[in-house]
Amino acid sequence: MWPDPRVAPAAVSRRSADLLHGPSRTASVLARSPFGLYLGVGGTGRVLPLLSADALALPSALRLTTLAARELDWGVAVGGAVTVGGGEVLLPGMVVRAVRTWRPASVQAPSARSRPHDHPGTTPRPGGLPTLALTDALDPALRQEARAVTSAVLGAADPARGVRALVGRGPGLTPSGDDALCGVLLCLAATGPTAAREALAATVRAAAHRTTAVGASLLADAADGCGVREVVRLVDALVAGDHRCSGRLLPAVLALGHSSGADLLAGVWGALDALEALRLDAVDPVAS
Amino acid sequence: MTDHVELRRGHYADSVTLMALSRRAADLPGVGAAQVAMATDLNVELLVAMGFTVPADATPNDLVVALRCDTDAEVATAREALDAMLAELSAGGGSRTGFGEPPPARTVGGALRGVAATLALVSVPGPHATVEALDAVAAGVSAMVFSDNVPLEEEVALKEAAGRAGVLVMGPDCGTAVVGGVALGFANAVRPGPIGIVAASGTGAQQVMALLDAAGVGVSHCLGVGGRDLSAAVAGRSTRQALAALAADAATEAVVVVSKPPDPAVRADLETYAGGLGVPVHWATLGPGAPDLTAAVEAVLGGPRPWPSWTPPPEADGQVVEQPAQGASLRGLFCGGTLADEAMLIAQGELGGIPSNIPLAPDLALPADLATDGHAVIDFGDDRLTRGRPHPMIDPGLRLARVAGEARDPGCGVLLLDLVLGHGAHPDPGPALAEALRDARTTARAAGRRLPVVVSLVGTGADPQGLTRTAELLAGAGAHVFLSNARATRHALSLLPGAAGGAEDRPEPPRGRPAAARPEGRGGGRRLVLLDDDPVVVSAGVGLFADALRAQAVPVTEVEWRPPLPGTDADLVAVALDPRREEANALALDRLVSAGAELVDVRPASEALGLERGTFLHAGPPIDWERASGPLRGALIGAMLLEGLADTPEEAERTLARGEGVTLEPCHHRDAVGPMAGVVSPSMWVYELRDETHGNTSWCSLNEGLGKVLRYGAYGPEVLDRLRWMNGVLGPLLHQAVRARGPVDIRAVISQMLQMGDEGHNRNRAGSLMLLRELLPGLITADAPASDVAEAVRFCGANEHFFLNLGMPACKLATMAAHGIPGSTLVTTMARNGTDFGIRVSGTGDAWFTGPANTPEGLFLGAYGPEDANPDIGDSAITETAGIGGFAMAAAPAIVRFVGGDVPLALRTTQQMYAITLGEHPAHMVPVLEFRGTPTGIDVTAVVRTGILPQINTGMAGRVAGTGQVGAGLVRPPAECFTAALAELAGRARR
Repeated sequence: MWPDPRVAPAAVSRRSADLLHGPSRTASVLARSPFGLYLGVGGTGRVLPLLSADALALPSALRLTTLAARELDWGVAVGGAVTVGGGEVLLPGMVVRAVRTWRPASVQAPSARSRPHDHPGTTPRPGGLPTLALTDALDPALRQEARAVTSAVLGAADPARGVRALVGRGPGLTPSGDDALCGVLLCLAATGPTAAREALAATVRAAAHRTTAVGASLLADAADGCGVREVVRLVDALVAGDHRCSGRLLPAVLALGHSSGADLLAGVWGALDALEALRLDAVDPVAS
Repeated sequence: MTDHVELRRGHYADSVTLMALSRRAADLPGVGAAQVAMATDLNVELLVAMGFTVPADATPNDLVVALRCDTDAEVATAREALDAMLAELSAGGGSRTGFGEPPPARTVGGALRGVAATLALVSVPGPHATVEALDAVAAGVSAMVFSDNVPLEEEVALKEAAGRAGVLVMGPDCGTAVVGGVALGFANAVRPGPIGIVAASGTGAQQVMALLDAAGVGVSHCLGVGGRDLSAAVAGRSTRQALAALAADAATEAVVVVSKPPDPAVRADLETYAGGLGVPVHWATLGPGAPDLTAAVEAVLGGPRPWPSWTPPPEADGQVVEQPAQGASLRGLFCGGTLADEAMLIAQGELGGIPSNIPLAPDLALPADLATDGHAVIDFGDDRLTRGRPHPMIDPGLRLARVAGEARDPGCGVLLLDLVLGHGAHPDPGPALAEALRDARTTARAAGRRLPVVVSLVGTGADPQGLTRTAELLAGAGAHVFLSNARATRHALSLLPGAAGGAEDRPEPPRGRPAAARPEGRGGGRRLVLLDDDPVVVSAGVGLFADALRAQAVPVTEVEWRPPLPGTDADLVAVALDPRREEANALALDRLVSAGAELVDVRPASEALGLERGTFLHAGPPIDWERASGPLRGALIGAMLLEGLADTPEEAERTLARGEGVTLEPCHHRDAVGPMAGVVSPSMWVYELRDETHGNTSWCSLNEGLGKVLRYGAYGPEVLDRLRWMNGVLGPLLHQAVRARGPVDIRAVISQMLQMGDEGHNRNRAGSLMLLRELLPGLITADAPASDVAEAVRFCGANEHFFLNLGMPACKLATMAAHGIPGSTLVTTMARNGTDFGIRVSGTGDAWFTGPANTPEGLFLGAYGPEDANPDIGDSAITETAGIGGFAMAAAPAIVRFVGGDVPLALRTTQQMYAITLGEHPAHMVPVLEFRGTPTGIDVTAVVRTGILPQINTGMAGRVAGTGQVGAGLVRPPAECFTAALAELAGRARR
């Protein structure tokens, strides 16, 4: 009646269910931390994050929801090979088996949002937020670039140059530029016209080879409106004009990663700057 | 024959676990009978019926182990094996914690402080379920209440609270739910899809899910609401919440409401409500004339379906269609109440009213022994048949016995059974049922009868038991198996002699509105975290539920739940439902932690407190000389001598005994506090502390040092000489020093001393030195002989408890600020007079709740031993009341050398106190716990619920008057202070 201790139950993201339940493939370990492995699944160009219970729930992850990092020994190094498929990941000392599918958080599309928040008086106003703490945290250049990219797609201009400048820029597994672009993509998914959102998604896809496999995977998630729960909730709150809620969520997002949270917010703020400028244009041409 | 019955006090395990354990114990070699259970009235009854003698003092919080063997040796062997099983239990669950790690939470509320859960799963015994579920509601978390036997008025109140908080309460008595693909309780493995289910019926919901799954249609969520939700009394409160949540859920495109026959007015109201939600809602609510569940599902799907069925192979019985004897009856043996209801509703159309143990009309009730010679439908899942045994979906024994009985009864014409698969159900019920059916048919055939058997099998292809495999097993045993309970019932009717035939081809036409196209907006919907976020569960009660969730890769925090202190169930509910409580406690805690404490003066008590000659203050609750303990008597004698009211101890004693011209009064009644005996007489000097934030003042005597001192009951010449010197020299010097320096911030000193290894009750070293540092310039420049100053400084510097008498009034100011808030359950006083321990509570005014003081355990000075110690005494437990002292032991591990215990004990004590406090102190922090604030604000309800009593570090006085200090140690209050306070709080809440 007791489960085999070598089999660990896990929950797979709906975004990766097809990959995990597909045929057996060899995957290589792209990166490793106490909190998880990033698996590059051979022949698919896709990345499957395999994460401990206490890791950030990345939108495409296979999550070991009952085992914390300190209880885990991945038993495989960067560059090592594991097998992915048939609903399982075979590690040297453990079988991770997906026993259910989880739905990653995704921002509310504009059509799903209830009407009252949509009148102009309550459109997002980043200026009304606790900016004091943020002034130091956000990279002004990154914010400006994010604004430019957003303005370009909203104005039906080609954002390719701006996107290329951001994708893959900066150190680490998830470069700063990618984080900022994720922020823009999430904001557009929550507010923007479908055409602008799709145009930016296509441009980002085309430039994805310029960044790490992990970065590309997170960009693909964001292009579909999916992100880490804390971030998604914050974007929802900002877009809904719920300043009390966003103020409460802000610290958690800023605390993400080494600088990922702040870079992501620079992207979100840049996108909101652009949207705000557009709104002022529409309401009062003199203001611009 | 040897009976062995033993009580294990304070040992707790849930009933499901204990039933499994009893079963294993009964199977041990040499054991004739075995029962391991909590000593509830019901279980004691059961044990007595088994012939065991249960000790009369057994309480529901004790575990009873009862064994019957042939020999003593066998008893010994069985006990050993049982001990190992019980040890396995307490070691399981992964809840053991290492050095310095917090202990597992004891309440749902405690667990929710540490984890961002989306759901609380409550399966504790019914009388305790409401309180745990209210914890979840208060934390803004939805709850699933599996427990049954929750009073109706509690259900209504709980759901009212949930409505206000915008969360969903599933239950009580909710056995089935699926949230985001996770099965909770009894549920089938269904594919994800667009249909949301709201279920006031567990097996009804399982039938609907199984049919949808067979049709290739998945389920987004199945939200149980409890069997009574659609009754007139509950008025669909949870159904509304669930409908609103599903309407706002992106994954849900249509909703089905499943219920036993609902109250017509409630159903009509809900229909109106659902009409405004912008999502199509279908009604699978059983009742006369209403469509059956299968028809309701077909309405959702847009037309009839060929539901799966399995026919017995011809060779099993020679022919497929069987006809029983003339005049024989339908016998339905069910596990699912709703499936039984549905069968009766269908059958009564042809057969008239069906007698049952859950009859559709009162006049159709079966007798208690369930005997019948006509048609009958029996629900084996009914409460009366599951007392003291698992549900028939887990333990089929009772029903299988009835199957054998029916086989012998010539009056039984057709057997109709259900079998429910899925999570939570028996891991493989098919083989045993198939065997029973084969035997039954053999028995009937041997008697020259035919016994057709029809089974409605509720399950999905993904269920762990295997739907097809189970169906084939049953068909192989000669049963006609249907996925649809309605089809199964109609088929059974068609097999009865004289049946009209073809009944199964005439399903009731669906009533209800056709599925409307989904409108764009969903105005009435309200998003629910439970449906939006990936599930994170806090579980209290049955351990198997937590295991089942872990197996589904759901993070679960298990509450180490124990029954509350005996006799408190109703009071706990009343207080938990007091609408003032949350805010009152928040306010009380805020006032407690924000209170200031500045030393502003040192003055004689006659002046500061207006203390008249002959009046003596003492520690603890009110007491007279007659009942006063040795140390209190000793201190009073000393004070009489000091005040010149008697010349000898004997004279003082006589006067005190007569009470002439003498008044005894608790320090607390004058906003003062006194350590140990706490005796303050008019000539003694006192510190005066101010809380400018709340405008309060408190006082405390000056500390005399350790050993032979008045506060420990000593009154010899050296004691009185010291007191005279304190009155004549020390007091006036301190007065000058404080006046010269200006106010000293005592609260700030407390915060600092906790970072320097003091806990503020029995370890005051750093605090004393810091205070001396503040006062030294003023002492040196005081207008007094240098020799007096030197003696005063030497005295203060040598006394490691010098600061205690400042920490105590500072704590008193904090608790004074929190006192007197109606509805608050925060303890504002804990004090002892050496005979009684008394507490006062913010929301109960000036009333004292007392019980006999316990005697501390700890370390003794010199040759003294436990027999020399007096019961607990002193107002110094005000430190623990304000969140330091024993509560801050983790900040002062060195204290264990003084009061006993070890360093892990010091850490564990502070960690444990978080379970009974309302919050953490923002300024008083424990470095070793990552600067976590000390546990502050004792909550009467938390103490009663967890049985964890506040930990007090204390000095020990000699039992005999005149002895002085004999040691120091650890002590806890008597529980009855807290149960009595709770009863008063409950009384006020009900008013």
